[in-house]
Amino acid sequence: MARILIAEDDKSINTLVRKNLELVGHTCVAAYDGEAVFDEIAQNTFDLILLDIMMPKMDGFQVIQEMREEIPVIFLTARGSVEDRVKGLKLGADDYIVKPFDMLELQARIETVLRRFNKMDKQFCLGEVKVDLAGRQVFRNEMLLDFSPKEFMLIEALIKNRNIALSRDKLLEIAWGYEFGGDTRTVDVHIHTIRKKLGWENVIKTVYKLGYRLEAGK
Amino acid sequence: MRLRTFISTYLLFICILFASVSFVSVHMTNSQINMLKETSAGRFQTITSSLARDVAVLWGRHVEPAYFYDAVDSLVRGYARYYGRHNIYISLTNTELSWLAHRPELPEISTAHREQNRFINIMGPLPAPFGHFVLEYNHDITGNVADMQNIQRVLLLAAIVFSIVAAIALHFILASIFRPLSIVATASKKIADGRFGERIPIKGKNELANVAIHFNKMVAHLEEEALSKQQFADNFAHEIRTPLTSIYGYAQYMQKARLSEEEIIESAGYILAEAGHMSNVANSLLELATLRNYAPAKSAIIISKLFADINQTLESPLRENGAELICHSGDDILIYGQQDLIRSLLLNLCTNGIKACAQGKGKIHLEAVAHSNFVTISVTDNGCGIPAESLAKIYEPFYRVDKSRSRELDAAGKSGAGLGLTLCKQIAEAHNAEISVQSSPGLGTIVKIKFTTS
Repeated sequence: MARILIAEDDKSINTLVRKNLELVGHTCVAAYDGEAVFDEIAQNTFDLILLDIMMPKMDGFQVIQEMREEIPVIFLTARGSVEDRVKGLKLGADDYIVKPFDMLELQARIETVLRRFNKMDKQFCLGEVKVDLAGRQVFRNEMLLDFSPKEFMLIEALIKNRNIALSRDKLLEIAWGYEFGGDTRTVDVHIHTIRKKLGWENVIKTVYKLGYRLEAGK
Repeated sequence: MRLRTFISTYLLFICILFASVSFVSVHMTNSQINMLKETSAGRFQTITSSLARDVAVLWGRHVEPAYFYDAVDSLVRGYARYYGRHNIYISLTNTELSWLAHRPELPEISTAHREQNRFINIMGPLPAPFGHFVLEYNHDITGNVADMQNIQRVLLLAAIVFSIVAAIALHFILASIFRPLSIVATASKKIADGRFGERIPIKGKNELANVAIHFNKMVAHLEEEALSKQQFADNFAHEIRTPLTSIYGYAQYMQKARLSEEEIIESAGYILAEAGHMSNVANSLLELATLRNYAPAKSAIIISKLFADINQTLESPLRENGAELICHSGDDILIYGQQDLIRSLLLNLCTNGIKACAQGKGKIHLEAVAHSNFVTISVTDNGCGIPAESLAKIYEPFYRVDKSRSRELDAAGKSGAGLGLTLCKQIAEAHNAEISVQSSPGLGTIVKIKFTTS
């Protein structure tokens, strides 16, 4: 997965973002002020920078203006005014997320930017199962399995948000769309089929009162 | 307002104008007629006396009455012809020969209307011995009256023209008088709509310029107020959003991810710390709100005792930072104030001092000096100091000189709310004390509070 630099001066938020990103397999490095960002990008390569605006020594706007490297940037900030958003995006940021943010939204936006820069994994392997995300095919022991489009959308969502519990409603929304009037039971039926096809009875866990989580190890 | 002023002023003007015009024309008519009457009376006198003289001559010539009367008739005709040319008609009646309804003993003067014409009519006897001759004198004054009416008409016309001119002039005068008022009205409407950039141009040195100056001052004040409120709201939102992000994020993380025991404790720890920070901010804000317009319950505070108390309270943070607190105070220095407020003020300043100092190198001097009618308490540290550009802002709520440091938890497990100095200033102001900060970056900071000893 991607290497992400988190530039955020608040230790608890920095840790929180790092923990979240590590769940889905990203590698994270923390920077606590503007100058540290330059130190880090001089030493390592990154696929993405999450940049806070109000930081000591050098604010996020200055950082993005002075950065010469072509690294995608997402602003992650408490400053939610339209002026700041416009300024951030005009300075070349790829997205702008306002605190407090939703965990799934953060993941989705990061994924979108990474996909735009072609830095998302093309496939996911776990045990004897291989999922080709680009080709939308599922293999078990190198054997192509028959997956319906809905089933593939569900497995894709679970893989992209692995180690994070997704509610039945969220899964319903992802695979069937907002307008679908169906019961969340539909999700249960499909998850049951997927488990059976992949032998993933212990991989896709049922989370009490919430939904399902694909546990893949960090 | 402007319309009302216009209407009332104009009505008043019109009334006065037309009243004076009609008074003048009535007076003129009367005096003209009186003058004409007087002239006529004089002329009547002349005619009667000259007629009497002529009649006396005829009487001496013609003792025969028939001839005499004929001669008088032709004489009167001659007179009538002569005066007829001047619009004066005279006739003579002999009361011995013809009956006369009214026979005055003295000349009687009156005015009369006959058809379209107006006359001055005088009837009177000739002087004795010809008293039985009564002369009737009619002066046609129609022409004079017509002249007068013409003059009246001209006067009226002039009055109407003048009142129109006056209306136009009044309109412009009022417009120029009311212009500043309408400027104020427009400006205040804009300000009411929240556009505080509006100002009134100041011209001259009259009352209106004064109004404009005060108005502009008021607007500037309002603008400042609105700006500082906005600033406060922005800062407050940011201050709340940061811990909220943590709380929300960690709660969601705990709900959705599979966590180990340590991770649960760590995440819950963050939630608790941030919730504690928010409650800190709430308490400080509450304290600030209470202190506004607060009259402290003052009592005498013995400074040396207060300093000892502070030294004791700060013992553990001092030890942790390896800092030293040095107190200087005379035994008998007293200030008047609310003990807990003054204590929290000094604790706040000392804690700031400790935080500003490098680990193990801190020296904080807490000193009280008595002057003739005031006491100065100063807190001096040898810490990192405050940059000059930040000095003006340190009292602003939520302002932090070093943004990264002060949200870290302090020894007591409390993180700075960013309200410490704002509180200090409020406490000082509640005690009528002056607080001032001097700082040189890299060398240290001196905070002085000047208490009046009353």
